[in-house]
Amino acid sequence: MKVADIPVVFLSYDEPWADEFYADLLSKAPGAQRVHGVKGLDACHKAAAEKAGAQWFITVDADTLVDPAFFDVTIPPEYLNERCRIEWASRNAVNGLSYGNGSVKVWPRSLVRDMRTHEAAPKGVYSVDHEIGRNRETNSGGYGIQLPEIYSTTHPAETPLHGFRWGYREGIRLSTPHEHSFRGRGFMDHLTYPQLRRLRVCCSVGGHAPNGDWMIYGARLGVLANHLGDWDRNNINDFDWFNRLWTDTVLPRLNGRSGTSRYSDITWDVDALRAESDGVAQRIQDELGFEIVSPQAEVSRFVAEHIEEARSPSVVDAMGFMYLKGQYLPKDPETARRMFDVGTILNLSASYNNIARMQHLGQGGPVDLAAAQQNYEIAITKDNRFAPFHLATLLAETDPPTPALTARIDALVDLSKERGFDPPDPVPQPRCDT
Amino acid sequence: MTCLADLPCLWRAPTSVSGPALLRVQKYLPQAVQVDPADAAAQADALNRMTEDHVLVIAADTLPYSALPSLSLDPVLAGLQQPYAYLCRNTVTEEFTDISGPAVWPRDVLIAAVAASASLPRPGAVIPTAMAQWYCNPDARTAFENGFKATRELMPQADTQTGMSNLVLRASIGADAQYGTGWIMGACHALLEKYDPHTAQTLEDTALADTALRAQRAVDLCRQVRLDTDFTVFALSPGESRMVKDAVFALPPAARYRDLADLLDQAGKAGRARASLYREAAAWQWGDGDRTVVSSKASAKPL
Repeated sequence: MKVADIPVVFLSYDEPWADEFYADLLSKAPGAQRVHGVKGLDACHKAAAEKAGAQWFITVDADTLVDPAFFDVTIPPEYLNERCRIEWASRNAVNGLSYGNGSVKVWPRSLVRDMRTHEAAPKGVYSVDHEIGRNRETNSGGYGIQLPEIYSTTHPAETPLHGFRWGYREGIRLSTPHEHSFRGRGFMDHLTYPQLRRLRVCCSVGGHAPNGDWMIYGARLGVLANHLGDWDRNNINDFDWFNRLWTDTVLPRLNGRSGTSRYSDITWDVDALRAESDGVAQRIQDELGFEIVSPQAEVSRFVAEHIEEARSPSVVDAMGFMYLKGQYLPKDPETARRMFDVGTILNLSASYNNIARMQHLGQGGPVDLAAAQQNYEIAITKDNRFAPFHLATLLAETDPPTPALTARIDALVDLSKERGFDPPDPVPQPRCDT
Repeated sequence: MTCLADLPCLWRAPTSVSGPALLRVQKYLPQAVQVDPADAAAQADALNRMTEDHVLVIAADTLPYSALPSLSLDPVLAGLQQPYAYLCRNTVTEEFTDISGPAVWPRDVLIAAVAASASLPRPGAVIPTAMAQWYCNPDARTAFENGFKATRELMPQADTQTGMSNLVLRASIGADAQYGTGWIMGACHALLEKYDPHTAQTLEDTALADTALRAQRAVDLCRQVRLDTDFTVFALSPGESRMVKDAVFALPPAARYRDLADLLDQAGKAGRARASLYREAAAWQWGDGDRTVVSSKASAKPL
């Protein structure tokens, strides 16, 4: 199916530039519809699904401009199913990053109907993202297929308020570890590498762009709020809370006339904002140990111009796994094996482990224990946590029992445990008579 | 399947080599035979005493990774009867480079190559996985020299957007690395194109010997490059440099995968099958075509 054949919905809430951006979208996708002013990110996506009235629909955020070439893209039919969201990263016009924020997405209506995220999340559940495929408590389920091309640019700082709000939300989201409970000094050690890389850029780069300092200030404050205390992260889903923070606390502190903005009549003190922002950066560095830099405008522009992010290679392995298991994608061991082969080229330990599993269990071909053992061994050298356990299983099933073998099996199981994999079913031990 | 640990290893390093290179080679490649790269006879003698068809070649300024010995000999590339190499990470900029990459040579091809020249040609086939570091900064002068040479080597690509970006980055980052400011000075001199490397180094001798002077000179030279050329370089602070390295050099560029795929296309059916996997790998990370950045609206601030 071509992207052009899928209904497009433009999502706006309170963005003063939204009419212009919607007009731009209409010039490229004349049938694009619009959902405006619906409070809550869960609710507005449900409203978009209703507005589109189709099995699948595309969302474009109010701060995003889409390349016309996007509408010529053809989506592989197997990706279009009831549980997969398809997305193309967006390039941030202020700091040069390109990831899911502001991405254009194809949603299955059923997935949107079932999810309960953001303001609609069950009480007590942390939810500041759709978390497709990651959070069962919010019914997101499904899987996000991230395709590598970039067809849009996101402009998150068209006004001071929007830049600040965007920065604050990203500061929270990017500095929150997968195990949500961890807070405080050393939080960086609990983040993924892309999270950490993006967080550092969000907290450092953008000062050259209009309202970019607001974005950076927001991101830094978000990190501070997230990790100094037990502040409720779900607050960032509440835009009324943001408006109160903005009006009652932020603006009065930075009152002045040297800063102006095209889409807003707000003015502020540019030097005071930078001084305040640098003070927050210093606190983050001193109290949390996270290094942030404050480049001059020309260096900030230089950095933003040269950042080019690749997509995460692990997507390849994850999709291979879905093809192998028939989970969200059609069961297809041959395609699975091909995805894993690509994964080995990308040096993914999980792909070596998955190929070994296929060879071990005879999935998509005959059992080949020698090849399986070799691929398990490679996965182990690449720090895979599952491979030691699976190799232990293979050895227990196949090799003649000896004390040395038993010791090796125990060592492999311990290695898996050390790496964080400790399944309830123990490895069958070979019977040893001596 | 043959592991690289099972291959004989020629370590082309003078006896004076010491420090990290010596430690890494001794630890990870204990079978390495050290020969002076300037001594063709010694190299030929060492190679003639080896019996395997392929030889692992390590340069004096290569710091191999621990994973290198456990890699398997690539059957398709080995079958081409040409050398192939792995990428290195530059110890100053952390960019991926084929300079001083660990290489696997067919032994007879290597014997002919060392007889022909003291410096081995760089293999055309490069597997896009970093398996070593290029230790380009053991001291300030060597960092300067390597910064100059590596930048000069890249200058023919300055007329492409990617080439220009690579050049500008190469001369801007590294202040967080040991003698990284020496590298930046060398790279800036190469961009200025006023002096040959020897003259440039002589002119900068005093600054190269002093840490504070070097840092100041790197800033001054970057400014001079901005004024005198089209290269918009900035001597980034150590923190800025670390941030840019993380953001830019996380993965090898797509061109590395595609270049190898083009070469594998010539290696029969097995080669073509591998080539398609490399192209897919590049496409999944970087997309199939050029990155598109929308800047069509007047209200948008294009990068």
